[in-house]
Amino acid sequence: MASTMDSLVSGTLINTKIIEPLKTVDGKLMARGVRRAPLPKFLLAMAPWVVVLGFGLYGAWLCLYRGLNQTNMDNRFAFGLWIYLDLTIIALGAGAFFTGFLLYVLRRTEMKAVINSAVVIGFVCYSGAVAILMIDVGQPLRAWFTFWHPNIHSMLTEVTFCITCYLMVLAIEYTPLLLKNRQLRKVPSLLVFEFELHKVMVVLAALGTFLSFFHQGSLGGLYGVMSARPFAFREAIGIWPSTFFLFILSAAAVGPGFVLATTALVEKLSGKKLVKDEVPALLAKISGSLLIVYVLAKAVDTLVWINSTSPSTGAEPMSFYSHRPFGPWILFAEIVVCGLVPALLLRDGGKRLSLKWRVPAAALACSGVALNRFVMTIQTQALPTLPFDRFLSYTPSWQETASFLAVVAYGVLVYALSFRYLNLFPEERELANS
Amino acid sequence: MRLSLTRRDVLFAATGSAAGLVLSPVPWKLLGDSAIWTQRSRFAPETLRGDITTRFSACTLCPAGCALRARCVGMPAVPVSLTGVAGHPVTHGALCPTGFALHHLTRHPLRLTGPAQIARRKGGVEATSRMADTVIASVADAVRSARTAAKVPLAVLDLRPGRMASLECRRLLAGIPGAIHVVPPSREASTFEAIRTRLEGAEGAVGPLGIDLDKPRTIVSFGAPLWEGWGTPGTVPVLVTRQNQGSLRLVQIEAHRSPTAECADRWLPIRPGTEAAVALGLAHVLVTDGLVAPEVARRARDLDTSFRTFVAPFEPSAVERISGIPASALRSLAHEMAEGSSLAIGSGAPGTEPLGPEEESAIAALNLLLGNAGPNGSVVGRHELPSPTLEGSLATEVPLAELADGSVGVLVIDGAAETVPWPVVASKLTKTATVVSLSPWLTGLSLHASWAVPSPAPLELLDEVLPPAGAPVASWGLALPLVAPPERTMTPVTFLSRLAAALGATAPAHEGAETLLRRRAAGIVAAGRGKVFVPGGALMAIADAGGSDGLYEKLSAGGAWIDDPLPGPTQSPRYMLLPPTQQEVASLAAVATLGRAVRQGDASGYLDPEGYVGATGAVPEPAILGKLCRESLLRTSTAARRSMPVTIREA
Amino acid sequence: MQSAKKPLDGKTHRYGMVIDLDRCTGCGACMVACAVENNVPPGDPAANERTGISWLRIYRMNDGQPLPETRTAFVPVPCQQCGAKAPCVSVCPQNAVEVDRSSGIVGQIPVRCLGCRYCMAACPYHARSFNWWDPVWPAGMKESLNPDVSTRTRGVVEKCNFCFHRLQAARAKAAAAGSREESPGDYLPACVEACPTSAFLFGDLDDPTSDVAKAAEGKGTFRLLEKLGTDPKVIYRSARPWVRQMADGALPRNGKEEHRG
Repeated sequence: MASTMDSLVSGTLINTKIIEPLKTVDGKLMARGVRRAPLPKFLLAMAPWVVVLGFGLYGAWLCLYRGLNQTNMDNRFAFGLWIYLDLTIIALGAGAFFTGFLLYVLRRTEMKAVINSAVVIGFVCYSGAVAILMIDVGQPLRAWFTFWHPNIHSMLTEVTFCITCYLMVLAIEYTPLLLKNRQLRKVPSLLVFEFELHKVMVVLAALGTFLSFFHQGSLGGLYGVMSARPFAFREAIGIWPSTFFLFILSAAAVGPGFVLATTALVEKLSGKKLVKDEVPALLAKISGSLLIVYVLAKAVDTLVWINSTSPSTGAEPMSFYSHRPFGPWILFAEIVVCGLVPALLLRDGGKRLSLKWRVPAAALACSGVALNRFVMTIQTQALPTLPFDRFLSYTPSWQETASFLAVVAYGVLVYALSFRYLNLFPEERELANS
Repeated sequence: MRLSLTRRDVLFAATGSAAGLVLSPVPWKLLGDSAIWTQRSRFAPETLRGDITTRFSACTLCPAGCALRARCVGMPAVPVSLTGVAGHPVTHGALCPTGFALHHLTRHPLRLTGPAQIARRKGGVEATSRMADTVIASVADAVRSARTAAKVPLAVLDLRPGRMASLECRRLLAGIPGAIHVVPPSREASTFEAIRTRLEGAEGAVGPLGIDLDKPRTIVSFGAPLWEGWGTPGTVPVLVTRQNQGSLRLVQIEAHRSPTAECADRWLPIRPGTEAAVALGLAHVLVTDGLVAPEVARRARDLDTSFRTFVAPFEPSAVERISGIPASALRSLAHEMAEGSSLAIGSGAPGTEPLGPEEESAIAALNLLLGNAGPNGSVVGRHELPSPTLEGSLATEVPLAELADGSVGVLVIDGAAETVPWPVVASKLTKTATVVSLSPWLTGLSLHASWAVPSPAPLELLDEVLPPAGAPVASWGLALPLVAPPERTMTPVTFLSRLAAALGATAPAHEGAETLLRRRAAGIVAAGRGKVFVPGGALMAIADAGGSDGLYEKLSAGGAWIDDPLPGPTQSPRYMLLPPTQQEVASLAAVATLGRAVRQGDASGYLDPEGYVGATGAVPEPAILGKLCRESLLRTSTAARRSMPVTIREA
Repeated sequence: MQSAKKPLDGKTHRYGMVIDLDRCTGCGACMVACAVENNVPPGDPAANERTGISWLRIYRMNDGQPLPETRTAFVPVPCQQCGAKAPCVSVCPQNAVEVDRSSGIVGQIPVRCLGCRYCMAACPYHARSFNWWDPVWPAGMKESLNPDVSTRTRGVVEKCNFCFHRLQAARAKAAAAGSREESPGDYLPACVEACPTSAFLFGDLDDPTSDVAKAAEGKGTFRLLEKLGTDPKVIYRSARPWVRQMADGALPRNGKEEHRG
C-alpha cells in the first residue's frame, strides 16, 4: 500500500512540480557536511507549530482589532500574562548577551560553539517580546511617543530605549549568521559585508552587554521604584532599587543555563552531538556561580525588605503572604528550591553528581526566574492596598494565551529554520566526523 | 553614450531611496498623522458648539420636583449637565442621582415620540406608531362601548394630582358623561392620612400634615427611606446634619438592610410583614410602663377603654416571637422614644410592598401616644397651597381605593412614575377594559396599556412643583421647558380635549398651561403669606416680589415660594387610637398577630429608589445609573437588598 | 494640557478637598454627576467594577461586626491628587502625567497616553481607569456631551482631574473681568457641586482663609495610606474612631505636606 502511494506520489505532477523542486532548494540551502532530517519529516514536525502560530496570530489580531477587552486584564490587573511572560523570556534570552560578553570581551573561546545558537535564541526572545508589547499597549501606533517625549525618570522609558536598541544589535548579530548561508555566501558583496561586520562584532557585543545590563535591570526597576506598592518597593542603591541588580544577576545567571538546556534539547531532538563537553561544563559552572551570588543577594534583599523597607511603609510584610495561594512557600521556592538547589547542582555537576543533572538543574533555575517575575508582576497587583480593598485574581483569556503561544511557535519555527539552514553549531561538523 | 541600466543599479537606487526616505520627515509625519487619526476615529462623537448659558427648571419625574440648574450649550440651548440649586429652601441644593442624568432620558430607547398601539408579545412589549386621530378615535369607541358595559366608562388616573393641569383635566372631563378623575394614594402621606382620620375637632390639624424635621430626637422608621430622599432628597442633608450633631438618632426597623439602614444609628431587622406587631409592641410598652405623657393620655378617647385591652397581647416577648426583634431591644426602644420628642414613620420602601393600612394604623397610634399631634409634636399642619378655582364644573375626584373593583371600562393613566403597583390598578378594571397611557416612556404602568399617547417628557413641558409629601410648609416652584418636545407628543390636556371632541362632548376652551400657572401665582400673592427665594440671594417677603408677574418671573429664574408655618395647636386635639370601624380593628389585630404575607417582590423592574419617593420605580433608568450598578460595588443591582437571614421566613 | 510651569501671576494654588465621611450616605450622585460632566460613558454590557471606568468610586466600608450590628461608612475615592512625588508621574514613559505647579492638580494627557498601564500598576488608590473598549455613548448622552471635555478613545488611561476644565473656565472668566486670580467660588468640581449632603469641601489648601484649609486642620482628619508618602490633597474626616482606624490606622496627618504642586 505504501509503495503504491509512493509510486503514485512520485509519479504525479505534484511531485515533479512542487515536492522535488522544494527538495532541491532545501538541499541547496543546507550547509555542506551536515545531515538534516528529510524535508517531508521536517515539514510534518513544523506543521503543528504553524497551526499554533496561525491560531495565535488570530488571537493577537482580535486584541488589536477589538481592543484589549479581549484579554482578562482589568483596572486592578493592569499587567497580566503578557508582561509577566515578556519579562521571563527577556530574562531567558539574556544568554545571548552573556555568551557574547564571555566570548568577545572575556575571550572565552569555548563559547564560539554556542554563540550562534544563543544569538538566535536571543533574537527570537526579544523580537517576540517586542511583538507582544505592541499588542499589549492600548495604542500601538503611539509607540514612538516614548522616543519623542521620553521621561527620563521612568524605568519604562529606559526599558523601551534599551530593548529597541538591543533588538537592533541582535538583528545585526544575527545577520552574519544569515549571510554565511551556503547560497548567500555566493554573493561576493554580501561576503565582504559579513566580513566587515565581523570586525565590529566585539563592539557590538560590548554594546549589547551594556544595553542588556541596563534593560534587564530596568525591568527589575519597574517594580522596585513603585513607592506606593510596599510589596514591590525596594530600597535604592544609588538611584536604582535593589531589584535592578537582582534582575540583572538572575538574568545573567539563568541565561547561560537556558542556552545549556536548549542546546541539550536540540541535541536530543536532532540526535546529534553538537557541542564538545567542555562547553556545557563551562556554561553550568558560570550559571551555578552566578546563581549562588544571586541567591545570596536575594536573601539579603528579602531580609532587608522584611525588617526595614516594608514596615516603613506601614505594611506588615508577612501580611502579603497571608492570601492563599500566595504563602511564604513562594519565598522558599524562589530562593531555595529554584535558586540554591540548581546553583549547587550546576556548580557541582560532573564532580560528585552525574552530568545528567545539569539540564534539569538549568530548567529549575529558569523556573525560578519565571516564578520571580510572576511574583513581582501578578502577586503585586493581586494584593490589596486600600483598607477596604480585596485580594483579587485573574485568569488570562484564550486570546492572551494564544498570542503568547504564537510567539513560542514563532521562536520554534525561526530556530528550527536557522538550525536547518544556518551554521548554528560550528563544532557540529567536527563532532560528526570524529 | 549609451545608458545601460542593470539590476544592480535599480537595486542601489531603490535602497538609496529607502534610506533617504527614512532620513526625510515623511515617515515621522506619517507617524504623527497616524497618532492624530487614532484620536479622530469614527467613534469620536461631535460635541455641541455655541454659547454656554444657565437655565433653571425642575425635575418632574417624581413628586419631589427638585429644582435644578442646567448648563446649556448652543442655540437652541441644549442642556449638557444638571445640578441642584444651592440654597433652595426645599431641596437645599440636593438632586438625586437620576436627576443628574434627566436630560438623557428625553432620548431613552424606551421613549415614545408619538401615539402608538401597544401589544404584548412573547418577546416583550412592542409599540407600533399610529396616527393620533386613529388612536383617539379608537379610545372614543372604547368609551362609547364602555358606557353600556361598565359602571365607570372613563376614568383618568392622575399620578400627580393637585396641579393646575389636573384641575384643567377635571374641567374637561366634566363635559364627558360618566367620566371621573381618580387620584392614587400617596405613599408617604399614608402615615399622615392614618393620623388625620384619628383626630377629632377643629383644633386638630385638618389640612395637610407634614414633619418638622428639626423636632424629633429619635426617629423610628418602619422601612421609610429617610436617607434616600423620602419626601424630597432635600430632607437628607437636614437629617444628616442633625445626626452628626448628636441631636437625632435614627432607628431603622426593616427586613432588609437598605441604604438607610446602613446609615442609621441602629438597624433592627424584622420578619417582613410584621411592622404592625412591632408598632403595637412599642405602644404596649408605652402604655403599660406608664410612659405616655399625662396631657397626651388625657386627650385620647379610647386609651383606657379599648386600646389598653387591644394592645395587651402585644407584650415584648410575644412581639419577639412574631417579628424577631429581641424583647429587650423593643422595651429599651420604647423607653428611648418616650424620653424626648420622637417620631414614627411608616410608608415602606420603594421597590417593596407599601405598608398596608393596618400597619399605618398601628404607626399612627404610636405617633399619637408620643404626642406628635400635640403642640410639641413633630407632626405639623400646614396651609394648603393656594389654588384658584376654575370656572365651570369639575369632574368628581375619587380616591383609587374607593373605586369599586371591576368597574372601569377605559382607564387613562396620566403620569410616568409607577406610584401605584399595577395589580392594584388592574383590580379596578373590567375584564375587557382599555388602558391608555400618557407616559412619555414605555415602562411601568404603560407596559399594560393598549394605547399610548405620550405627553412631553420632563424638561420639555411647562409644569409646576407642588409641596413634596411630608413637607412642614407649603411651597411652589416652576419647571420650565428646556428643549422642544417631539412634534407628535401632546399634553394630557390636549389629548382629553380631543377625546372630548371625538365623543361629541362640549369641551370648554382650555386656558393653556402658562395662563393657569400665572393664575396660581396670583393666588399665592393674594394669600399674602410666605417668602420668595431667588438663587444667590436672600429670602424676600411675598410683598416685595413684584406682584404675580414678578413672582412668576422669579420662579422662572430658579426661584421658589415657601409658605409661612401654620401656628401649631395650643393643646393636643382629641383623638382615637383604634381605627373607627370594628372591621378595621379586627383586621389590624389579625395582621399584627399573624404578620402579612409579603410578596418577595419581582423587583427586577424597579429603579434605584434614590429620591423616588412615591415612585416605586419603573421610570426608565438613565444608562449612567445602570453604570453605577454594573461598574461599581456601591449598588450590586437596582433592586438587591441584603437581608438578615434569621428573620426572613419563606414567603 | 496647557499648564503654566510658572503661572502668569506667579501665585500657585494647591487645590484639595476635605471629604466628610460622616455626611456621605453612599447615594452615588457624585459618581453620576462626574460621569455626566466628564463624558464618561457606561461601559460595554460586559463591563464590571473592575473593567468599567469610574473617575470617582464610592467604597462601602464595614466595621467587621456581624449583622445586624455592622456599622457602615461610605468612602468616596477620587484621584487623590498626590503631591510632587505622585507615584504615577515618574513612571509614565511618555511624560503624559504631570503635576501642574499652578494648581497642584495631577493631569493626565489621554492623547499622549500609549496605554502601557504602568501608572495604573503604580497607583495605590486604584484611581485610574483604562478604556478597555471603544467608548459608546448611549442615546441621550451622545447628543448632550460636555463640549469642554474631550472624549477619549480606547486604549488610553483616564482619571479624575478635579474637573480641570472648570478651572480653565474660571480662569477665563477672571481674565475677561481683568483679574489675574480666579475667584474661589467659580471653580468647583462636579462631584463637590452635586453632593446632596455637602460632604465635599473644596478649595485652595494653601489659602489659610478658605473653608477647606480650615477643615483640613480640624479634628478627625486623615489621609489614605499616609505612610506611603504620596502626600495626597484629598483629606478625609470623621468623628467616628472606628472609621478613622479602619481607613488609616488612626494615624494623624504628619504635617509634612509639601506646599508646592
